[in-house]
Parts: sequence; C-alpha cells; structure tokens
Amino acid sequence: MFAATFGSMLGLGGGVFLVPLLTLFFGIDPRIAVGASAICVVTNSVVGSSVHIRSGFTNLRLSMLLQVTTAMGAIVGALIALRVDASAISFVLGLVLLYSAASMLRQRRVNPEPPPADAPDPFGLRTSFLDPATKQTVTYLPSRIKPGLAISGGAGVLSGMLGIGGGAIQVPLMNLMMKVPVKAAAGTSSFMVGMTAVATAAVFYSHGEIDPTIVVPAMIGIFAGAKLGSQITRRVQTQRLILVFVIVIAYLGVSMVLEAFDIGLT
Amino acid sequence: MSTEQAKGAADQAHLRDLAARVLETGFRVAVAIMAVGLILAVIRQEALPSTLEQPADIARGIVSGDPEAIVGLGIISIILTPFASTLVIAIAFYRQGDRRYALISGVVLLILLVSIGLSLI
Repeated sequence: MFAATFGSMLGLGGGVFLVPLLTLFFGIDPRIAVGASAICVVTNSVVGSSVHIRSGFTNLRLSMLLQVTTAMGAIVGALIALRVDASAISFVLGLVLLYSAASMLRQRRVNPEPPPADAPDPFGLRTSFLDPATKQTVTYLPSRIKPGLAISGGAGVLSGMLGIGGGAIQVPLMNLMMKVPVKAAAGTSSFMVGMTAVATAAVFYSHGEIDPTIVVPAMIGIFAGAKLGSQITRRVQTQRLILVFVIVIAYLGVSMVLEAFDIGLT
Repeated sequence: MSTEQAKGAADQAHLRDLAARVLETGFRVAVAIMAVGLILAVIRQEALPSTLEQPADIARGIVSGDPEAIVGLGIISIILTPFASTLVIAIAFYRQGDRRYALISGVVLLILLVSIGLSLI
C-alpha cells in the first residue's frame, strides 16, 4: 500500500519501492519479487490512472506520443541488456536522477506560464485541467516535442536494460524540458508506466515467475494505495508534490549510484 | 470559445471518460473474478498455487470451477486492461476523425505486442 500510494501519487508505478520491501522485509526471492512488482505496477497504473484521467491530469495524446519512442527504446534496451555492463548503466541513471532532482528543486516550477492563445501547436497537445488544490484552471502546451521524444526513447532504453518502469525519468523530462505542470506529468506518466510494465509482466509470466500467493495480497494493498495516492495528487499543493518527488528521486539516484559499486542503501 | 475549440474540448472529455471507464471496468472485473476464486478456495480449503498457471491450464481449470484458475484469470484480466484501454483510445481517436493519434495509438499497441512476442521467444 505504501509503494502504491507513492507510486500513484508521483507517477512512478511503485515497483522501485515494492521490490526492496518484498526482498528485504519478507525474504522473497528477487526474481519472484520483480515479477510480483511488474503485476503490481500494472495494477497501480490501472487504478491510479483512472482517477488521474478523470481529474484531467493525464494528457492522453502526449502519453501515446511519448509511449511510441519509450516502448521502442525499451525493446532496444532489453535486446542489448546482456551485452552492456549493468553497473555502468545504473551509475549513469543514478547521475541522471540526481541531476533531475537538483534541477526540479532549483526551478520548483509550480506551473509554467500559460502559453499564448496563438502559440503554434503542431502536435495538438494543448490542454488544461482544474487543479482542486488551488481551484484554478491550468492551461499548458508541451514544448520541445522532438527532443522530448528522443530523450523519452533514451529513457525507454534505460528502462529496458534495468527492468524499471521509467516514471522516475519521464516525470522530470516532461516537467523540466517539456514544461508540463508536475501534476499533469505525474498523471501522464502514471498511465504510461502501466503500458511499459505489461511487457515486463508477460516475460515473468511466460517464465513461470508470477507467484499468486505473493501477487494477490500485494494487489489488495495496491487497490487501496493507488486510489489514495492519486487522491493526494489532486489535493496536495504542487510545491509539496515537487518536494516529495525530489526526495524520492534523489533517494533512487543515490541507490543506483551505490548499486553500481555493489553497495546497498537499504 | 470557437465552435472548433468547443468540439475539441468535448472530444477530449469524451476520450477521458472512455479511457477511465475501461480502466475502472477492467479493475472491477479483475477484482470480482479474484474474489470469486478466493472465496471458492476458502470454501474448498485449497491453498493458492506458487506459480500462475499458463493460459491453456487456466481455461481448462475455469471449466471445472478450479479456484486457482479463477484467481489466475483475475490476474491476467488486470494485465490486459492497459491493452484494452489503449485499443479503445485508438478507436475513439479514429471515430473523432483524429487519424494521426489513432495511428500513433495503433503503433503503440503494435510495439507492445512485438515487445511481448520478443520476450516470449
């Protein structure tokens, strides 16, 4: 439930919290834990995104557009995973996450400036949502689409190589580079990680590494946590959401860098 | 707001409603199926298996009312839900005359199918 609450709230999926919990606190084999985690990320996305979509936080066009290069990158990443040193990739990803955390903390862009009414929108991505925390309508137009697609593809490669959902990269990418408000970035990412995790879940299912005695109780916690997380996103002030996000991705970044040197943080 | 903008806003609202409904329905169906399987397992005093059965075994088990197979079907239902939502979104884009995003959504579905196919080899 803890993993799902944070995962749904921040658009991460929750697997990054669930795997250490299952392996360290319940002594579950890491492969079984990752398989259970993939199912739980899909569940978290299904439950959490339905709330985010109804809130208007999910930009469905943007999610489909970015998912094209993310999913392609994930295939490439999975294919080259065996040929590249995983610790080097962990180190690079860790540095990327730490840089993202520092940038988000420095900029703390609550919401970008509303785009001019006549601003060009070649991809039809301009949209708006009502932020219940401030009771104001936030209008935004994602920018730098082509570089965003390229970086999203790179995020997909890292996801495929490391078996992660990619939300920790997608949310800062959308917020910092594409000027998507953080609530919309979290809502859009929450929907995307579900699609990415489906492929991972299929791999573990085909290898007989989905254990219903672990998955079913975990899913019950996810049902409750995902709803709670997405409701918190609706109500919390954006500044606080950014702060929580910065702390979480900084923690993940440090974990990844230390993991590259075989040092466990937890 | 111009007529075109009003139509765009209405289309977006319809799309969101459809996508959210598919996700909510997938979630409810999966929970209901798993609940039936768990209740049957408790009544028959059967433990859950440590490995999720393969689709053919699940299909055979459901016919004979096997709780393990019913729980398995619930888990598979939730895995398939993001697929279903992407498919519905692609169709909705097409029906709204947004062929570009219908095509993009179709490409996403295709890539997901390819990635699953590659992973099963």
